[in-house]
Amino acid sequence: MERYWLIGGGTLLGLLLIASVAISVSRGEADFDPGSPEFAVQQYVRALASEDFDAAEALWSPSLKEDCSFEAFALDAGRDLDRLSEARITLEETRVVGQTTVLTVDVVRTNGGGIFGPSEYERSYNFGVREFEGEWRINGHHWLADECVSSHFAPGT
Amino acid sequence: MTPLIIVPILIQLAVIGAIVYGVLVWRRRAAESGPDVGIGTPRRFYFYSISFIALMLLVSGITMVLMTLLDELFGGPVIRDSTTRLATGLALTIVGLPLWGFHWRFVQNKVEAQPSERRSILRRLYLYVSMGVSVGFLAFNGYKVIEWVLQVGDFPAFSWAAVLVWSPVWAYHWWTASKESTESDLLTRGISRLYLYLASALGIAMLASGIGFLVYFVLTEGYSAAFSADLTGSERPFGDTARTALSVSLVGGLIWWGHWFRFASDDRSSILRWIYLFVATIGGGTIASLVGAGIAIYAPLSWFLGAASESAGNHFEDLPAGIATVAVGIALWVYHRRRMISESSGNEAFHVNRSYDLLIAAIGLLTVAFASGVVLDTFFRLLSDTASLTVVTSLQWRERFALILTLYLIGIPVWLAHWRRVQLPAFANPEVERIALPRKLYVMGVLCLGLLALVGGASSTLFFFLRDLLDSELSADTLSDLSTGLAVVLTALLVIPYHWVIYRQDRELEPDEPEPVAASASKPVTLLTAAGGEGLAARVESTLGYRVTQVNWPDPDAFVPTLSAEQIELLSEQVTSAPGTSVLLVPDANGFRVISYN
Repeated sequence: MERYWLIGGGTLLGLLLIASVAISVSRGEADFDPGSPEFAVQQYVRALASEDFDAAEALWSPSLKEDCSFEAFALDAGRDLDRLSEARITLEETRVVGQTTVLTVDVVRTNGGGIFGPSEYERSYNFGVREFEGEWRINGHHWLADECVSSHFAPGT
Repeated sequence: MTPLIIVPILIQLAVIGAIVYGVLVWRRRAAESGPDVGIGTPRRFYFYSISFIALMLLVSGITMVLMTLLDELFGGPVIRDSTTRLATGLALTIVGLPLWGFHWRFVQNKVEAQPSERRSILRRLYLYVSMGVSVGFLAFNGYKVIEWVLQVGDFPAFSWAAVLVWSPVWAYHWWTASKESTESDLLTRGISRLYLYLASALGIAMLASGIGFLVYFVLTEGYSAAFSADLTGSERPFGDTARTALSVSLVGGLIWWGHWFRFASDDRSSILRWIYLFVATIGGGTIASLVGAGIAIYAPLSWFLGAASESAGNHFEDLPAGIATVAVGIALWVYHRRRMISESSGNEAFHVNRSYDLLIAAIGLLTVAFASGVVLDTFFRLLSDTASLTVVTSLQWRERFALILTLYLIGIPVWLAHWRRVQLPAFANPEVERIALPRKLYVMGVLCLGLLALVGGASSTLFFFLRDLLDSELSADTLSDLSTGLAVVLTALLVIPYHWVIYRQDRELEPDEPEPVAASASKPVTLLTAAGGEGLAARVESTLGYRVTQVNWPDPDAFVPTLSAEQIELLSEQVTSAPGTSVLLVPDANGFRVISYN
């Protein structure tokens, strides 16, 4: 009797592992419409995660560039940017606040697994994007240096 | 504050309790039983330890893999993917599965070949600690799954995965343990009881706190509607926090129902069951009710004493919390107290009822003592600074008086009612009541705590006095520094004399202590009997007055002689008068043959 249960459980486990690998590999990252706010955030996050700061700065809006220093931002947000590498980032919510579209993303970074479960860092971040000359640009988000926050983003408001 | 704050504490207590109990049981069994006929303790320790660690790795790995799958299926669109979790999960699964499979199959094969392995303490610990960890994960994640079903929060991939993985782990180990329950003895049954009653305690704690929060939300809403109080931050009933409370109570109720009503329903009179009943009745019932009553009494008292500076609506906003706590506390008390009464009879009922009365009396006494300490501390502070008398009408002092009155209003009736229930029978039937163990423990406990308080308070008083004396700074401020220490000393001096008199009166009724057995009169005694001779060994031990080692006689013609009290007396005399320094008792047709040797 016990043998059948263990064989059944083992088969189920094998199927689970195969399904997980297959689905994870086949689905991958979402393909957003290139003219959408989601696409802009995806490009921006990818640039930050791969430390391509030129590409990231190019996605800043003109007003953000005017008020904030990208170098100061990159230095100040160093630790948060580190967390982006190897992190799984999903889109949680999109809402429109005035002329700004605010996207909430969930960042989950797995640091390993212990005997009682995974060790993970999880946090939600907001990105504000606004359309400038037909293109969506990052107009504010977490990690900005203190002097930029009040004028450029108040996450969640 | 989430009501589940108690869960990690209970899990830690469970693990510590299991380890302590395991060590005690192991040592006790090692002393009582013969040689180990199984795979041996070192190998057993290795195989069960590795099996447990491998199982945890495996479950952790599968949980991570399942989390990844659930996130892919039900999570939001992926902006940036990472394979770290999947890779970690797969690695843990690939390592943990063969490791657990090999070690677990090994011990299972040994159990089939040698059924005595089923009585192994380490096997029982492995099974029940695995179940305990499973219940902990199911409790903590089960409520999050229900929360999500009730539309609170985002999709909890980890909680779903944990519930899906830990449920079969719990079921498999429960099934394995249940198959072997008939072969458990008194010692290993204790491990299953420890699991059952800790899980029951976890369940009832979650159920009670969840229901308490629900009642609180409903009452707060009613209070807010009736008095239009400014309850900024409070929630509408069945808002997110109320749904969380409902989820917690549902999961807690399920765990409690399963463990208390189903699995532990036919277990009676075990020490662990009584500990659970006392903790639930007194800790969950009486103390919660008294705290709630304190909140409900303090609010009107402080209002009438003029200790409130805000509107009545805002001042009484804590009343719903007090009423909810009292309601849940009374419900817990009524149910568990009834179980205590219905499950005890005869001498056991006497000890249970006395212990209950004395514990409640102790709570009342502590409350009264604390209130008296606050009164004395206030008095000395006022005395040390006459200027303070001018501010005695201030809000701070009025609040203090309201607190003192509240504590007296709760403590005095509780102490008087229960101490009277102990003292009246003690006057009527002193020979039985005054020497009862619960009463001795109570009186000694109060005296011990009182003396500790006295010593602590006196040390503190002396320190402040000497410090100011040596610095030539003795002044009215010194009395202010001394006030707390003096208050503790005087409170202890109020409590100790009365209980010292009680102690002396009780001691007079105690029978004279038996003559101690001279060290030279005791000798190593080994009693050979068939299985089941423990009771006889205990009787011989009691008559001799020192330890007897009972060893099992496995031969087919083995038996346990039946001896009357007179025969045991005679046997003890033979042991004492035997010329050798050690004695072996071998069963024969007349009872035992006494063989002494050097």
